[in-house]
Amino acid sequence: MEPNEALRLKLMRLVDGELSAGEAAALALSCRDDPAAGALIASLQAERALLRAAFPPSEAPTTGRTLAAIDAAFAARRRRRRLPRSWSAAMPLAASLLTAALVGTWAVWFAEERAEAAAERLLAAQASDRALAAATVARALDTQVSGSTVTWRNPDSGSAGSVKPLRTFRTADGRWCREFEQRLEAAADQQGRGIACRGPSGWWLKLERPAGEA
Amino acid sequence: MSPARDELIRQQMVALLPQLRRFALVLTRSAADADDLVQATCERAIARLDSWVNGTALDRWLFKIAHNLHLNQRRDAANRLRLLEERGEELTALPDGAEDAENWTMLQEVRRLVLLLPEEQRGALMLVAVEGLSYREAADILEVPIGTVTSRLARARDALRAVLATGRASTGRAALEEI
Repeated sequence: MEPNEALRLKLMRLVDGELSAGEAAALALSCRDDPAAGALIASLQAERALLRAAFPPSEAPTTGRTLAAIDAAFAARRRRRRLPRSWSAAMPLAASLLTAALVGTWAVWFAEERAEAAAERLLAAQASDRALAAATVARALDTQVSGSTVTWRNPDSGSAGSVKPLRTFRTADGRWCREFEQRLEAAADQQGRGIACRGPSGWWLKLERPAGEA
Repeated sequence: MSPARDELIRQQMVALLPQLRRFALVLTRSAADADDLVQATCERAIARLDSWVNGTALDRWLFKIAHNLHLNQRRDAANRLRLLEERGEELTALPDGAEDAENWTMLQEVRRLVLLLPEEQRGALMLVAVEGLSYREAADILEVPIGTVTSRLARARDALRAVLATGRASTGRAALEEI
């Protein structure tokens, strides 16, 4: 028969090293003539060993990509330290991921580039426009069905824009991605399309292209 | 913080990647998601290095960030569409080929059982039984009271023991099919 729940908990804490030496000694003494308790201790210890054996530390085949991301993040950190304080404060991390790549030059690039890294190229764009456009893109991708448009307007700069998700799909490796169209009415009207995929921390831009080059 | 200090942290972080990925694999149950989670965790940690209290162990802090990011991601409705079987297949790679056939079956069974536990039990079990953290440290990482960690562990242990007690993988499989 298994020990009662209170004793099971105590034995588990014993095996997990949560009891003081005194508590452990007292418990051992009180369980000396209890074979069921002894068997449970053995079983709990065996479980711990099995769990450790079943889950060895895991080397990823994609470690190279992770290392590159770590180096890029440290590089961004060094750059951030040189930037004026207001800049880093005005760019929440989530917003900076997408926008930097979306507002400004409508260049084409395919690399899995964290948009944060592209931010430097686009320092000239208005930070408030960027933040608004980024928030709108993320919101549209998170909440809007394909075909419906979300607009934004920045009273400070006079700029405005809109985002329209176009379609949703899954990649071969199981990520959820959305293609979207973005318009920007600023100094010059611009329009383009992009594809963003969902990652743990938000949307990542995968591909972007200006209108007319589709 | 100085560049030299950054470099030191970078080295420690890289050394912790396999442990972090193990935790991420059990949380996400998917190799692709685990890799994304590890990467996002490192990036967030580096972006917030200045707010990291020096003296807190780096591994605990990374686990905490990974767990928080995972909770956010889990709320992503799209994730719910994934099939359990599809994810359960991800963790079958073996370390070093050192296990014999019988052990292999048993360890594979342990992995399957753990991945079928409720998520909050998986996290607590990995931190305490596999990473060797104290209940207090696990409670800090998971942001729950220590009593909650204890009861999650107890439920996970009870479930594992019920299936493993027989020592036969076939029984485990039969039990799995009922879930």
